[in-house]
Parts: sequence; C-alpha cells; structure tokens
Amino acid sequence: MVVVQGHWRGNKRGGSRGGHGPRRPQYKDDDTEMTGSREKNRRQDQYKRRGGRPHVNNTNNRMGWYKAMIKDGVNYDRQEVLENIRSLVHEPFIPVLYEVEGRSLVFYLEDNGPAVQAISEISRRLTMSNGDKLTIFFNRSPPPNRPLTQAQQEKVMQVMSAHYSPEMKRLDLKNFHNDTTLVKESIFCPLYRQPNMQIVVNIIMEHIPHVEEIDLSHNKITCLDELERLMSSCVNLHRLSLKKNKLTSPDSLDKLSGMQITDLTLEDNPLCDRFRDTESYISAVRKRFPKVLYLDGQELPKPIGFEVDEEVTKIPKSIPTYFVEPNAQNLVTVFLQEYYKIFDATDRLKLQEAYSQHALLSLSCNFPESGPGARFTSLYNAENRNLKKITNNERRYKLVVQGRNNIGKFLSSLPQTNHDLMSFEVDVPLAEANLMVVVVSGVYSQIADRNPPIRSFKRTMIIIPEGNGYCITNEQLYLTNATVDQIKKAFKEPPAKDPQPVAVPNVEAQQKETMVLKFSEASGMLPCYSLQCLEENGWDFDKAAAVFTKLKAENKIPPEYFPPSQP
Amino acid sequence: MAGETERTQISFACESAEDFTKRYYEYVDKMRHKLSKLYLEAGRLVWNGNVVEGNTMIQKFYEDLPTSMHNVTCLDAQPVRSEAVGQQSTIQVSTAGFVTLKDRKYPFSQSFLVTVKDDKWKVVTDVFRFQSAPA
Repeated sequence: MVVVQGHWRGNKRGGSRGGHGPRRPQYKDDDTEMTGSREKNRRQDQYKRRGGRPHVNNTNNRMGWYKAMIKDGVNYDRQEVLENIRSLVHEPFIPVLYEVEGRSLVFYLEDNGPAVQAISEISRRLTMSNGDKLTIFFNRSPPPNRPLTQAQQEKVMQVMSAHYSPEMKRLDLKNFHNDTTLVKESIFCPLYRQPNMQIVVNIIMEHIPHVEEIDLSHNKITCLDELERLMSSCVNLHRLSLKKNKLTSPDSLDKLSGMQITDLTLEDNPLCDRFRDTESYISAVRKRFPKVLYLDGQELPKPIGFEVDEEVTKIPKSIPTYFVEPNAQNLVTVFLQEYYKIFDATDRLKLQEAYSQHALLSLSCNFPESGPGARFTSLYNAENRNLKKITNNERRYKLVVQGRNNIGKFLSSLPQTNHDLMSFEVDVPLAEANLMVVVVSGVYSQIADRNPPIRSFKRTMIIIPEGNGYCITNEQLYLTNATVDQIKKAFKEPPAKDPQPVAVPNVEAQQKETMVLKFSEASGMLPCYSLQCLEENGWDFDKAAAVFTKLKAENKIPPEYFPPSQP
Repeated sequence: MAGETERTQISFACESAEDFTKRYYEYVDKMRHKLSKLYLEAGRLVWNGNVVEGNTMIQKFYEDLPTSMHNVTCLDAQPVRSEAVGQQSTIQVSTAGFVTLKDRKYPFSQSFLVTVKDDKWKVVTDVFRFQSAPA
C-alpha cells in the first residue's frame, strides 16, 4: 500500500498515526511558502533582485517536514536499505535522523516534495537481498526536536571548525543542519532552535572571537537573540549574511543594533517585504547598523557624518608594561616572581617578610551577588572594603589589615590560587631611591574542586628600601571576575610575535617552551593544554607524561584538548 | 603610632579619597579643561602603559580621548605610611568600574597616589588600565 498524504488534513488512512488532527498544525518553519501567490501584489515594489520567486509546482508542493517509516526496517541493514532507496530514486534527498524506531526504520525529509513522492512510489517495489519487499510510509511531521548530547555538541564544534577559514576569518554556517558530516552522524542541529544557536554562539565566542565574517544563510532563523552576545566578544565581526531565513519583522534586527557590520545580507527574509520602498529599507537597516556599506551585495550611498567624529575617536593602543626607570624592571620582575611563587604555594605566612612592620593592606572586590559568577566568592566578600558599600567608619578601620604578622595571617586565609605570570601587566610609575609604586594586574585561577574560576586581580604596592632589600608599606588588592577575553587568553602560551608583559627570565622560559612542544608532540594535545599539564606537574616531564597517560586511558581528557580532526 | 591617630588617619584617607574621586571623574567626563589642576606639575599618568608626563600634557591627553563616562563601582583608600613619605600627607586610592569611551564600555581599574601641596590634594601618579586590553 502506498500512502502519500498531500495534506495533513486529508489524512484518514492507516499507517499514519497521529495524523487525524482537525487542522494542520502551524509549524513555525513551514508556513511561509503557502502564502506565496496571494502576497504577490504587495511585493510589486520590493527591493531589487528579489521578486522572482520560483513558481511552486502543485504536485511538488510538499514543503515542510515529512517523516518516512520503513516498515519492519529493523530486520535489515540500515545502510543497505538507504543505498537500495537511492538506487531507485533519482531525486536527491537528505535523510535527517535516520534511525530505528520500534520495528521500523525512520528518517525525516525537509522541504522535499519531489523526493517524498518518488520514494513513496517505490514502496513495496523495493526488494532486499533476501527477496523481501519494503513498505515505506510518509506522514507530515513537525520538525524533529532533539537536544544535543555532550558528544554531539563536540561534533558540532568539529564541524564548525571544518567550516572556518582562518585565513579569511570566515565561518560558513549556511544551511548548517544539512551539513553532510552532521547528517551522517545523525545529528540534527537546526540553528532556528534557540538551544542550538546558543551552543554555536558559545563556541564562536570561546574559540574564534576574531571571526570577521559569518554566513548564517538558509537556516530558517526566526530570532536573533542569541547572536546579540557576539557583539561584545567578536568586535571584528563585520560581515554577516542572514540571507534566506525567516526573520519576519524589522524589529527583530534590534537585538543586533549597534553591531559594527559593514556588509549585511538580509534578502529573502519576510521582513524585506515590509518596506514601501528601497529607501525605507536602507534607512531601517542603517538605523540599526550605522556602519553598513553593502546591503544585500549592493554598495550603499555613503552616509553623511561629521569630520570631528573620526578625529577624536582614537584610543591609544595598550602597552603591556611601563617602567619609569629601566633599572627597576629587573628588580620588580624578580620580586613579583618570588612573591607569587610563595603566594601560590601552600604556606603564605612567609610572605609577611615582604612587608614592613606597620604595613597596611586592604582588599576590595567586585563580584556578582548571585549566579555562577558568585561561586566561591564568600571569603573575599567577607573582607571586601569597597568604600562604596562600607560606609561605617569602624568597619572601614577594621577592614584594613595592619602590621606584618596580621598581613601574613590574612593572606594565608585567602583561597588557594594559581597565578598566570604571562598575563601580568606591570606599571611602575614611580621609582625613586626611597619610594617605589608598583601596580600589577593579571589573572589567576582560584583552586576549586570543580571548574576553578578565573579571576582578575590588581595589586597596588608602595615599596621602600629596608636593610639590604625592600619591603611593602602599603598594599591594595582588587579582585573581580575575569572578562571573557581574559579567560580566553589565560594560561595560554604567548603569541610568537607580540612582546609579553613581565620578562620572565629567558633561559627558563625557553626551556619550558621546548618542553611544551616536546610534550605536545608526544601526547598529541594542543600546546596550551600541554603547558597546563606540565605546569600542574611542576614541569616534571615524566610525571606529567604519567598523569597524561593515566587520564587518557581513563578517557578523561576532553576532545577539545586535541587538534580538531578534519572530517 | 597610637591607635587613635591610626583611626583618624584612616578615616581621613577614606573621606579625602571620596571627595577626590568624585571631583576627578567629574572633571575627566565633563570638564577636561580643568583637569591639570588636579595633578602635580610633575604628575605622571600611565594610561594602559602609555606614559604622559606633566599636568598640562595629561590634560591634553585626556582632551584628545573620545568622550568618556565613568561609572565607579569600587573604591578603596589608605593613608601612605610615614616610613614611605615622612610627614607629607599622602593617600593611596584604588578605583574600579566601567568606562564608556565613545560607544564601547570597558571594565577598568585605576590607582592613584595623591599628596597635599599648598593645602590642595594633587595627583603624583595615576595608573589606569582596562581590565583586558582590547584586541
């Protein structure tokens, strides 16, 4: 029996459970094509190059989703069945989520009426090697909905990596859910579903924040909320294609308002038809994306601005260190290294020797009061002397830690840490014989059993000579959560070219570098994770290798620690 | 140093820092032409690692920056110990928060050494940094 249901409504035949609903459900992503011809008059005046919508042949007018059920398919080899179908059906099709369901094999087809028709026609003609004939039913279906598992998310990341061109800084996510690798792996990741877009945006922010171009065309996207997050972390994102999606209202662009996009493609979205004329379309786009020079591939007339605007916008480039007195550099660098070596070790009491007898120390911090950013912050908050919050004079007094011994105890009471020396930025604005000011900032990870948080710190110290050495008389420590950018760079190897802050003694640094490369080669892990592994094992190569081998054997090393395999 | 003097000094440092920062950020955001008055003549600004020497150059540096809006969310202050500065009243001030420069918002922190000259608070050194350097 061949059952081809043209419309959900007329579905009264057997083998089509669930098809008896009185009305065709309105699935977000399959209703626009149905209105095609009636809309025509309103579209007379639309923006150039659109309008020529292909006429949809009636017999093939089966847009939206269909679910195929191959009866008793569980008895046969999946691949053989699929190859068999392909050998008889010449229409191209992509079987989404091809899998076993009960006794049947099932898959979904999207917007592919001709294939639905063609496959239906071979039902019961399809002969397997043992002589059995297969029955295939089709039913209209809502789009499949499967949350991605952790393993699938990792696969998605690999596929994204394969779609990213580092030279062009271009990420191609066109028609993403039909990517051949994803289809083959039975992963269905349509970007019009918010959780999937969230995963994809997280991956972009974390791994390719320097991306300059993203192609999101042909994804049936209806909402841009998730993309908003790219604005702050991907400041180089200048080209964006949203062509052929399902954005219905110009207001849906508001989420991305202010993005520094110069080249934007919006054509083939319902919202394009909402404008009287080209001018109002361009103006609505410019209102949200003032930098746009190209819209839908066409160069726009230059916007009129003011010359002064450009003149005063320059922000001086950051320089990682400043030493008023070059001779101070060595002294301060060595001091900081020693200091943080002890600070990160278990016994901080020794640090009190770095302070003068009557030294003062205070801590202030900015942490969110709740949410993930507030994890493990209570010890800090208890000592927070932020004068914006602490207004009582007595509290203000008590929160200043006074004297060498108290400072030693105080520092010991703070959470265990691991500082990233390569992140340090050091400024020494004053270095006179009797007085030196040192400001050092950077990141550290706060030791914790799970997901140790990365913090940003800044220490301001006043240092004077004492005996043969130096000591601190005043110190202020400021702590807050690291920015996304800081987290990304934390505990990574420095880029080859850029000069890095704090000159860690070179011999040692070079040795470590060689060791990291060697370790990376032996383990196959990315250099940054090799560095981490070595660091955590006190730069003992053999010990680190043993730890790695053990974790590897236990399958505890996440796949992202290795270079993505090219599918 | 006696306990009471200690308390007085600490509370004096806090109040002075509150007055100072209020005025300082008001000048930077709205009255940059007055900014040189807040620095010692030989004051020094280190802005994201860029050094600017002398109060008139510092004012000019700020006048060339895009318009700013500082939102200070954290403030801390201490009296600098006499071992370091003798009888010269000096305070150490740290601030942190967000600054909007042109259209972008950056988390920042800033450390000042502020001393008294002719009965007026003047900045000796001023170290400003974004929490993370823009790419």
